[in-house]
Amino acid sequence: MIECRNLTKSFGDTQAVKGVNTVIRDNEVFGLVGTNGAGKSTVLRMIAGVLKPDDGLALVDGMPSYDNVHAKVRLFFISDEPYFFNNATPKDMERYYSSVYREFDRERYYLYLSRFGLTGRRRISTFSKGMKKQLSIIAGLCAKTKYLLCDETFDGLDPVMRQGVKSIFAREMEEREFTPVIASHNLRELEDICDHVGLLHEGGVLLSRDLEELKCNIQKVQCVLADQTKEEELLRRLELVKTERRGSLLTLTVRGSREEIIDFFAAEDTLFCEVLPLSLEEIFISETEVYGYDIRKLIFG
Amino acid sequence: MTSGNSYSAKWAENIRRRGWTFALCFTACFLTMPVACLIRLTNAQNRIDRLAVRYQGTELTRRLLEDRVQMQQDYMNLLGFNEVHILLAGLAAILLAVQGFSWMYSRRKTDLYLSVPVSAPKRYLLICGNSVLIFGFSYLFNLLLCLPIGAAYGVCSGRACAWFLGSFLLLLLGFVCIYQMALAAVMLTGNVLTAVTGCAVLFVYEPVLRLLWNGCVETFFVSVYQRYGSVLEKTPLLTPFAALFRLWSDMTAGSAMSYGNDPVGENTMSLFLAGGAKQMLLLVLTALVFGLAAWRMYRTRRTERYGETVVFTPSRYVLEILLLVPAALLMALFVVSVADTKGPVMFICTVLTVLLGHGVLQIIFERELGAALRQRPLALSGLVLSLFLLCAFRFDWTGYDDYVPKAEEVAGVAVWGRGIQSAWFRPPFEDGRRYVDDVEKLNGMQSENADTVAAVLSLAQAWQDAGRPDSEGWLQAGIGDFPTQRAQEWEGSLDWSVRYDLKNGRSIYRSFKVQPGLESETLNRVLRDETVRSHVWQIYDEAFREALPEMEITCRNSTESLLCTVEKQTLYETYLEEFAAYDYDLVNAELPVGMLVFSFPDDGDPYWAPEWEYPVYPSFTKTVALLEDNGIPLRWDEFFLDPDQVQGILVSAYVDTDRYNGGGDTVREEVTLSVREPAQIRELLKGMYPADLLDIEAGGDALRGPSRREESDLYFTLILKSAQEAPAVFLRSGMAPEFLKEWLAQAQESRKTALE
Repeated sequence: MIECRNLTKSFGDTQAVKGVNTVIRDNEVFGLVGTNGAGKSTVLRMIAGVLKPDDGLALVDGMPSYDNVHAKVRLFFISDEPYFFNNATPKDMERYYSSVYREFDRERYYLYLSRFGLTGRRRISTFSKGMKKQLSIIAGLCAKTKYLLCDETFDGLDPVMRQGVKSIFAREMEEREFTPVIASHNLRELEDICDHVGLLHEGGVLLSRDLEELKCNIQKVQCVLADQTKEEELLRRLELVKTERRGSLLTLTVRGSREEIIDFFAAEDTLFCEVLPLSLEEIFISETEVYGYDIRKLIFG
Repeated sequence: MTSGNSYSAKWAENIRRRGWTFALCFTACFLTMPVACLIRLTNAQNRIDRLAVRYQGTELTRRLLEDRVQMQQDYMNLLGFNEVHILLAGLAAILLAVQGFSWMYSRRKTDLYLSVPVSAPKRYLLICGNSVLIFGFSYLFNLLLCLPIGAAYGVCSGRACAWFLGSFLLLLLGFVCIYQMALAAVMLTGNVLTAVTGCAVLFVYEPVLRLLWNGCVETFFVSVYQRYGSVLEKTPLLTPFAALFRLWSDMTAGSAMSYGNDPVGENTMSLFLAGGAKQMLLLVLTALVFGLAAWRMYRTRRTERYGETVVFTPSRYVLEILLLVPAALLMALFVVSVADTKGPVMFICTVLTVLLGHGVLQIIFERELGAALRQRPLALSGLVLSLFLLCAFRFDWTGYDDYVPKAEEVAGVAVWGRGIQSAWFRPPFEDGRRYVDDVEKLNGMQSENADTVAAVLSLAQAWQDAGRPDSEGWLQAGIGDFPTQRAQEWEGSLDWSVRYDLKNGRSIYRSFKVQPGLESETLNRVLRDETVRSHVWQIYDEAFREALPEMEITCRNSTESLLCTVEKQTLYETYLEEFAAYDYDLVNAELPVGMLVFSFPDDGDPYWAPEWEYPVYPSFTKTVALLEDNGIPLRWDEFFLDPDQVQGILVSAYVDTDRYNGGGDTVREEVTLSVREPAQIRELLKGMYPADLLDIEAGGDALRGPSRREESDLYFTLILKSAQEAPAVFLRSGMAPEFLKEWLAQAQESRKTALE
């Protein structure tokens, strides 16, 4: 488990991260979302032990990660701009990682390289941005660490590749203890990968929830009531997050499981009723609006 | 298949990634060692091969032997401790320090290196260890390559190998010291450019500071010891680059003066053991301090400070002060040297330097133009400190010039100067072949005689009481119009240097002027001191006495130099007995009639054949008699040279014209007179004295009495009737004939008229 306790970091006069408290449970894919400058990379770099927190602690399995080899053995950090040695080939990088990660799986490394269509002897400097990201992910996976910290790693990967990585993540999680932490400013990118999402804004965590819980507990309902006079009474019985009306068509965002909501509206006198799934983006818009934030401004600027 | 996480794997990886630095070091060593060695030895061999064509017999054998020895020395010089290798080691150390830790200057690299499970101490040790290994291996491997080359040319010996090994270890130590200092610069800065600049500043800082200190002391103080710079030079250096170069220079000087220019001669080794070992120990201690500082900075440095000029904010303030103050003082010295002023202009330039320097440093630190006007309290601090130090020197707030220790504080003194130093001085006997500068002259001496100490203090105090009569001193004392009588009294005073050895263990060097006319008795008390005598005149040395049988004694009289065949020991004992009377009164009253010259007849080096010369005064009657019995005439009545032998005398004089050139100096013009009349020749010759018997330039000129020259601007050339070389002469004080005085006055007058 990775735990951030009151994690704080400033760069000069700029406070990049302030009092972040969050827990990343084992064997989950944790997504860290936020706008540019929200502090995602700083949080990840503190967890990775690259930066020393000004205050608070970044604990990896109960151990502070900064300047602690025992904690670092358990994690692999892929930065937003991964560094490869000058004129290095994937083979050279394998040599380096092999020398620092005891469990580095060379066989699998070369297997993944060939599966991803990367050549072991080609210079990395000639790789495209996406290929470099793939190489980082491969190295991260083969290091066999418990935690894989990915900073904007999925940016630049095409959907097919993303799908491929997703399936590898899933397999790794089945085979061993594996917890990827993915930081991104793109909610859509994380939607189909993450189990748990934390929203970072202005250096602090605004929200941290299980995706399933989020998705299961909030529904979008479009309905037309037969008796408009009963609308007010009906809405009062629901745990409403948001209401929109277009003519007689009501669009409601409601808390509760899909079954509960379907049952609820089945018992009511409706001319039309449909329970629709919410995208992660919509869920976040709804959830953060509750806290008084306009998520569109937070995420999409 | 998983990998092992071994130290050797990490080490190999680190080496692999630093491959280019290794290649660079190796290539540099390869070029400066095997390649240079091969070229040098091939050339030497070709030279030797050509000898057989040009010479024959014993001459050929002699030259072959000489060239073979030279070849061996070239080989040893090339591969031993030398300036090229010091430069190589220094540059390699800086390169490896900057390159090894340059990852700290990049976010991408820190993200990789600091996230992988390698402990910070292990990484530090790995990088440092590999740096030493890269240099050490490159050097040693190429050195080993040179051994078979040397063996092929027959110049490689066990002694050479031992010297190479010693040099290698010394150089490796030097490399580590330089590396540690460079590391401190690397850890303090946030990018490669400032790291390299930081290294440069660190390595020149101490030498510049010494130069500055020396410059300030010599510029602003009048009682500063004339060879103060040399005293400062003798103190060990803390900066490895400069210290290694000095060590090399000392060793080279030692070996050059030693027999046969042998780089591992006893002289070199003893020099190293005497000064080098102490210097290296100090270097190691400095390296340790810098190493610890570098380590501390490495551990406390914030990762996110990459790219910044200086990563520790408080150190910026310290750095700025450390750079600004010397810069300001350097500017002050520059103004003094260029504009010859110590007044407001100097202070204004100092203030401007501080303000400008502050602006530039702030721009460098903050990388923003607007920063030049920030941190004003810091600029003010630098300004106050700079002005305080400048005033301390300028107005002698420390009382440096007034200092004369109390007699009870002084354990002993060493003195040297004109009046003591004489033409017949030679370096201490046992070091006869080595040049001995003023510092060593003082260092080898210490008189604890209370009377001598009191006499020296009294002489120094007399100079102080007279207002430090020196043009600079008078100005400082506000005595612009120094009373004429006093000025005349101090005219021709002697420059003396003194070292006070205080009871608290400190040694203080000072200079002052001695006026023999006013202080003759005090001066004699110093000259009669046995310690002073035995240090100045090696004739008292036991080693001198023991070497006497091997020596050749010649005697120079007014016209020729003759070999003494008299029994050496008798002559020596007789002379020694009479030389005891040598003091200022004797110098004042008499002129030498001869000069005894002690030398080694079979000295190999004609350019460095030491001679010990001692004057024979007319009052040394026993010595004079002994020498005259030996057929060496030493007495003359009226003329030191028979006037009949002289065809003419050319007199040159420099006449002041009261006209000033652009530089403010009086324009002096040369006028000549040819004396051909026998009567005038006789008259002139009567007052003349052979300069060879009293080295005017070396100090005799300063002595009063009969030795004093009449006019320092009068020069005489004798034209002899025979082909014999004419002796150099000078005119004694008060012995100028009337016709000469008239001619001089006339020349002066006509020059004036011509100008009007």
